[in-house]
Amino acid sequence: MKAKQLAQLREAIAAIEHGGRDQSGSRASASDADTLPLPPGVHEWFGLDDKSCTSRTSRWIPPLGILLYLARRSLEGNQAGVVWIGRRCWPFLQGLAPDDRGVLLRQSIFIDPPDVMSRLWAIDLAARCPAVAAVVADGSRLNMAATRRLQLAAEAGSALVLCARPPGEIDHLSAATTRWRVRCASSADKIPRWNVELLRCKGMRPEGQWTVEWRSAQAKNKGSIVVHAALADRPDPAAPAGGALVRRSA
Amino acid sequence: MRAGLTVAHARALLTNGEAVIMPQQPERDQAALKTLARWALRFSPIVATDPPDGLRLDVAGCERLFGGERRLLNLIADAVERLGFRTRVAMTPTFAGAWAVTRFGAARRTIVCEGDHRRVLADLPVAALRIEQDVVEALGEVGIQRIGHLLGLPRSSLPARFGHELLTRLDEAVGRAPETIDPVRPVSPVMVERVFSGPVTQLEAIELTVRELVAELSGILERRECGACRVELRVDRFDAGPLSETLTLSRPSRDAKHLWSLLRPRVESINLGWGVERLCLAAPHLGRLPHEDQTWGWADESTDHRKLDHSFGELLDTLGNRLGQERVVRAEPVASHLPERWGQTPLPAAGNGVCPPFSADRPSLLLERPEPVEVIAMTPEGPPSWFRWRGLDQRVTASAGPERLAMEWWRGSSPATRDYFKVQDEHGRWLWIYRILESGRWFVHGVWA
Repeated sequence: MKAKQLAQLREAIAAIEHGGRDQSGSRASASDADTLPLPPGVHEWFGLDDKSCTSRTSRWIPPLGILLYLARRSLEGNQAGVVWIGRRCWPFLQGLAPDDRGVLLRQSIFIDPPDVMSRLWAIDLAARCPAVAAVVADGSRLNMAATRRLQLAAEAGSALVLCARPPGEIDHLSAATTRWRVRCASSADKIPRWNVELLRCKGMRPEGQWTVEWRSAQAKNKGSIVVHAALADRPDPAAPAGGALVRRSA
Repeated sequence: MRAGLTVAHARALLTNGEAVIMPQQPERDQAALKTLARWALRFSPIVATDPPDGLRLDVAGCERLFGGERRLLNLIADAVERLGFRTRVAMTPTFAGAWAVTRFGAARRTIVCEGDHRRVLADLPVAALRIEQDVVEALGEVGIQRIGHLLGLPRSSLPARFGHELLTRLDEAVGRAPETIDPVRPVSPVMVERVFSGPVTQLEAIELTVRELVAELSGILERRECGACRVELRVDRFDAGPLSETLTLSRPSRDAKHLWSLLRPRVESINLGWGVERLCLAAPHLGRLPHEDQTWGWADESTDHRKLDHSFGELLDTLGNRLGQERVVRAEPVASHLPERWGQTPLPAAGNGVCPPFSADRPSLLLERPEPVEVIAMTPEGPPSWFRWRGLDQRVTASAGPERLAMEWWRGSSPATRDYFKVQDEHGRWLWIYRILESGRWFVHGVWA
């Protein structure tokens, strides 16, 4: 009886403290059939973290496979555009299926700013534009003030800002909504695979690691969630058309 | 070979070579003729088109500027021929006479002076009077082949038998009746300017003036139902050279606020020197921008789409004008199998290139320049088993390939065939490595990131 009252009291206090946000049960779980529901805001992706990565930050490789997928998803049913800022983050679109390649080619703009300040300004401007669905940017060397400015811009313009950052900056302070880490994962079959881990998430307790693959044919395994994303190479003649970015909860 | 043949007939007549068949596009021909007429305004202030393939210039009094009639005629003929056209030119006292002489005269370049005019006309056939074919035939039946015969006949008899038009045309040719033409009007450039009474050195005054000029320019563009694709601000300074700032816009715009937001950083950074005397704002390149309905309340999809397009255009303009147009690009596929030939063209690009051939496994990130890598392979032609890249040694755990890509020999580049392998290192990272067949060197070209 007393325990129950205590529990109720705890809940009431939590409700008052956090303004009604559900603290207890909300976890970003892998059972969402949709992709990870990314709200508008800044999302930082630290990659490509592997032991072979040297400490020099000038030679890091951004996790473009996942960012391509997210950018493509943000364009669905929309006439808006995707802005790719920073030469390091320009993708190579030839490996995509023709439809997605066509969509991304038509609706993408590539910007190459000369220095950090103009890069920050360009990301800010693109995030505020209502016609931009997603911004994929090189987020290296942005300090706390810069990320806070971008977070406000993204919330004002309701754009998805995906910042790729070198793994060396994982300890830097940031005002981003979510932070992810991407690591290479070895695979037995000849499919590139990455481990994606949610490090921080505002308002939610982060949990979960995902293994993400870049696939050429539709997955037929049980227990995997096939999300028709459209990152596909040439499909097998036997398999149905369309590719898959397979997500499996670890 | 003459005009009016069928395609099959023409093809049959051509014993060697292929016939080039192009569809006739009369509207484009007319537009081109109008452009040519505007170009010909350099010779005379009154130029009219004479469809389908002629130009009429009124050069009364112009020969003085060019040093004589013969000189002017040769200048015009040479200039048109330099543009690639074959031409026949005639200078006569009347337009009708000129028409007749160019179409039916003997020489390609003729000058007919006042005294010779009747005599020259008399030798031409009656068809040179621009009359209907049945009238020509009717005249032919009666034995009248030349204009000279017509000139000999009494004037009152002509309308009854052959119609009034014949008499009018005859009078026009001889010069008894005037002929009016509809000259092309040169497009007046859109330009607004302010001249100060003395050199101005205060930035606020300059900014205010430029703002007013932008508002005025926007009003002019609105009246013309156009938008500016390029805007030029010219600043004339006291005792120093003029400065010019150019704005390039991705979509035609006449929005004063947007234009000012693009111009403002430029104005703030100009060097005023000893003072500014004159400010001139021009829009040399215009694009059609029709008026739009203003809607309040229920917005439908088409207005949203237009608004999105509009704001996207403004974003591109701001980015391009601050960072430089070459730093804001759009990708255009290039019909090539080589990975690095994915062309990127600067804005504004239509981006409707040919879709490249469907390719197999490709990485998501291509390095800007292929990086050399040291490789040990088990067999000379086989996949690598160990490599050193960026100072780190890696053992290869899995590989796929080879995929052979030959270079484009038709472009004249040195033939260097590449064998591409997809290799996985110990940590699970997949790299796209190639080996040049001829030299045996290995490079990393891409990463599956």
